[in-house]
Amino acid sequence: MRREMTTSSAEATRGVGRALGETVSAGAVVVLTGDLGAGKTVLAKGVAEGLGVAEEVTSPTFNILLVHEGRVELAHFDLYRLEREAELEDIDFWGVLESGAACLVEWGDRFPDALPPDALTVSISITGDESRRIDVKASGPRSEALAQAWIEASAGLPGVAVVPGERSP
Amino acid sequence: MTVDVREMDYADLDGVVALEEVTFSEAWSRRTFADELARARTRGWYVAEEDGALLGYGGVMVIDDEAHIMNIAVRGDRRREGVASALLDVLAGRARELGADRLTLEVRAENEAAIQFYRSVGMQLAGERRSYYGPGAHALIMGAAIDDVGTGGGVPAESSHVAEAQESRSGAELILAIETSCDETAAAVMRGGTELLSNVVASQVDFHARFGGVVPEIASRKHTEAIVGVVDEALARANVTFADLDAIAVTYGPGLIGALVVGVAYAKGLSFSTGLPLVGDNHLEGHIFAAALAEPDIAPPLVALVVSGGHTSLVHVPEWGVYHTLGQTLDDAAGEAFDKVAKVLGLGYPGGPVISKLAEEGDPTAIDFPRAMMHSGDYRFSLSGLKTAVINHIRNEREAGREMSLPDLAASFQAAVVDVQVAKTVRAAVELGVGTVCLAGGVAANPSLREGLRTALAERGIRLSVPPFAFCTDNAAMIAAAGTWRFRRGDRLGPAAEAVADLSLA
Amino acid sequence: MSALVLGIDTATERTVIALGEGDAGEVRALAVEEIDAPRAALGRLLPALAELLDREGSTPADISEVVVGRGPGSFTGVRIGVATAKGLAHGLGVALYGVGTLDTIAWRLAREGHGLLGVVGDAMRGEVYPALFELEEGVATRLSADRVADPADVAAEWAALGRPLLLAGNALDKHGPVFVEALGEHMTCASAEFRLPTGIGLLAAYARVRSVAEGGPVAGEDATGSPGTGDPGTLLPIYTRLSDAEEAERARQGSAQ
Repeated sequence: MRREMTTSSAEATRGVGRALGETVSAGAVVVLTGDLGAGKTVLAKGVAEGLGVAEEVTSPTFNILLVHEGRVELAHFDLYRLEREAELEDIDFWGVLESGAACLVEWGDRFPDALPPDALTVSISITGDESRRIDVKASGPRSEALAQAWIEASAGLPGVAVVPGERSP
Repeated sequence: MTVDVREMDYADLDGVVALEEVTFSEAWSRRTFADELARARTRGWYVAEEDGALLGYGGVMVIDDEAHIMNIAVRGDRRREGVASALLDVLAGRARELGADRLTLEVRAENEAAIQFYRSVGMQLAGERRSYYGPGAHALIMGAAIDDVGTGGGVPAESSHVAEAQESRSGAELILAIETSCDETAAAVMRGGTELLSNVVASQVDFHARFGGVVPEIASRKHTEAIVGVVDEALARANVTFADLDAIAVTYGPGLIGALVVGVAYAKGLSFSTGLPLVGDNHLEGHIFAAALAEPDIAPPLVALVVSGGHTSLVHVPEWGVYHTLGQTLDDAAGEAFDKVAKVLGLGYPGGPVISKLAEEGDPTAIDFPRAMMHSGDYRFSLSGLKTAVINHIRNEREAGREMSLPDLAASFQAAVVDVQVAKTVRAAVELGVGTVCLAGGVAANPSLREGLRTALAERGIRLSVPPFAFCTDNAAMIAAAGTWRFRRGDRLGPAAEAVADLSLA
Repeated sequence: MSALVLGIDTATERTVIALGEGDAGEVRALAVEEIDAPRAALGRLLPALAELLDREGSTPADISEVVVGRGPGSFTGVRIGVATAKGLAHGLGVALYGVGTLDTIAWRLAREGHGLLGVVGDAMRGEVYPALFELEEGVATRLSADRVADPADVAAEWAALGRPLLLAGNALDKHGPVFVEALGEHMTCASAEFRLPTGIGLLAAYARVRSVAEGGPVAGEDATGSPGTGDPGTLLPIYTRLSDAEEAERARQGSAQ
């Protein structure tokens, strides 16, 4: 099922991320997509904050995978630099995905076959200088529950609007 | 009550972190503790137990002759029973053993119970750090000569920490270094921190040239396959055996986790079986030490520009081992930008050498690519916008059916990268008043960057140190140089050490 | 004089360390340490080994041979075990041999009974590493080579054998129901303690591999690849899944011939 939110500022986007970090549970897989500059990192920073990660989180473009300690372990992937799916084995992609960590996968849409069947896909698109549209798509019961809880938690945040109604896929 | 105080071990961390979290509002993470344990030569961490149950813990750090209590925590229901005293005694003993003659610590200004306790063991108020624990939360500094600190509990006569002094051999230590942080499996043997006896790289550039780009999947498989042969080759070329060595050094971060673990696992196994001490090295620190390999008189204070496939950072080095990152790239690293542009142009991998070669024939002013962050007023870099501008330019020209001059394109792109790096590096050196700049990392091989920096710095009387070409790319010689320095300082990697993908310079 | 053999396997969520005494064909377990801690092998392996040697009153220098589980299993886990074993054997100047990780499970179960055994290792992504063994008089004879496969296909294949089957391996937690459905009452699951690699099984599998390396008699079909030559430089993990790049390379080399 698809849902949609809008944010009016980078701070609001980060706030939405924070709400996701507060809602997400161990073992969840969140795929983060969007053009360069759309705000994937801003949202990821919010997720880390919501999970209680103390250190500053940046996109692990070079490292491909970085793991942070929080309320639940956060495994943060950036698959931008990878050329082919088989390279995922090098960082033990599926092992980490199934390790119980909350997984945030930037550029996960590059390898759709590599993703688990039940994942939450969050797509950010640029609608103005700082305003963004955030499309939320759940592909299974677990991600569906996460999407619902997350959107409820985000609804009251400053600068965040939830687009009413569910859009059919 | 029988309280046992013993050295903290990695296995204690679950309990320690749990106690830390209920004791302090700004609790240290597990990683911080693990990092502390890895620095055994300048630290002492202990736990207090009763029948195997954790009552408290404490740690001390010694720098030169001054010891600093990092942390003491005691379980809430077991305070005022002498646990803290028992810990403090052992910490003071350890500090003495490491040569400290003075002990200091910080304590929250409002934590009267703790202040009273420290007074009772002979420590006195020595100053205040305002807002140390956050706005309005001040810290008091307390201190005492170490021999005046005493709880009457007695200090253990000896501990297993006793330094295995290698001082007699200082100056001629033979170090084997191993580096697998990215795509090169490398090993080197070095004597005395400067005399390179061998330097072996199982270059995988053939694989990459064929498949285009860094292929980490292949990297870690290749490391597993090549490591023994590369080490054997390094030993043979240096004409030494394991028995001749004084220590082993290994890169344990930053890098690709799957690649790092192979080198760290192998090196730990080797250290365990040979009994040789193991030193953990930071890959970036290695790059900075590479400059000193060719010019041994290079000394801090200096500014280092670290530019490679994974990094673009300006670092202030007031003294060896102390690094302040002034700024780094917000997105792509410089080497990454070269690789991506080369790929778009179909020039192959790695992109740096191809582009700089092409640029020699081109006009750097032909296309006016953006100089991102040039006037941002700070030391941060951004290269992804430039990459996009180049890609757009190529697309537009192709669509318009215009003939493109590859040399002009390469030269203009390179100039945009180099201009910003030179400007920021020069400004950092001038503002910090250092007399030396070190250029480090794979992109340090770029002739245009070398020349641009050399000219700009020479005008201001600042010395530029550039590593020889062979030490610009990932290699183990630089790890041996940095490793020797860390070995002399007493830094050790324990058998429980992990690889740290995002290890920072600190 | 009998030799001190060190065995390690970190291909699964269990870190296995075993010290054995003996030589070809006969290895007596002296001490075994099995730590169930997923993804912790790099940090846990050597401290635990140090403790085990200490308890036995031995030092690393007493080790005269090393054997390591080559997988298949977690890629990182296997590499940690293999790289550590290489460092240990290389530093000591002793031989390093490999055994299949699934074989270590089979050889432990061979001590408990006889019959057909299917071991399914977790290959993640919904796939398994299956291997079929015949257990008889303490010996596990391999009937199939290591590979990666869909659990339903494996279950159907094994159901078609029409024989009672004992199942083990760490994929059962995830894929147990698929096998129950296909095999029904033909199948029994090994008790939890035998589902993962064990120190005893590792040493038993090693004893066999060692006699193969010395040109000794081979019982049954050897389908798990060579134990290696003893050279720590050439021993490699068993991956079963080739990377795309390697597939391409293989095809390229094939077409060039």
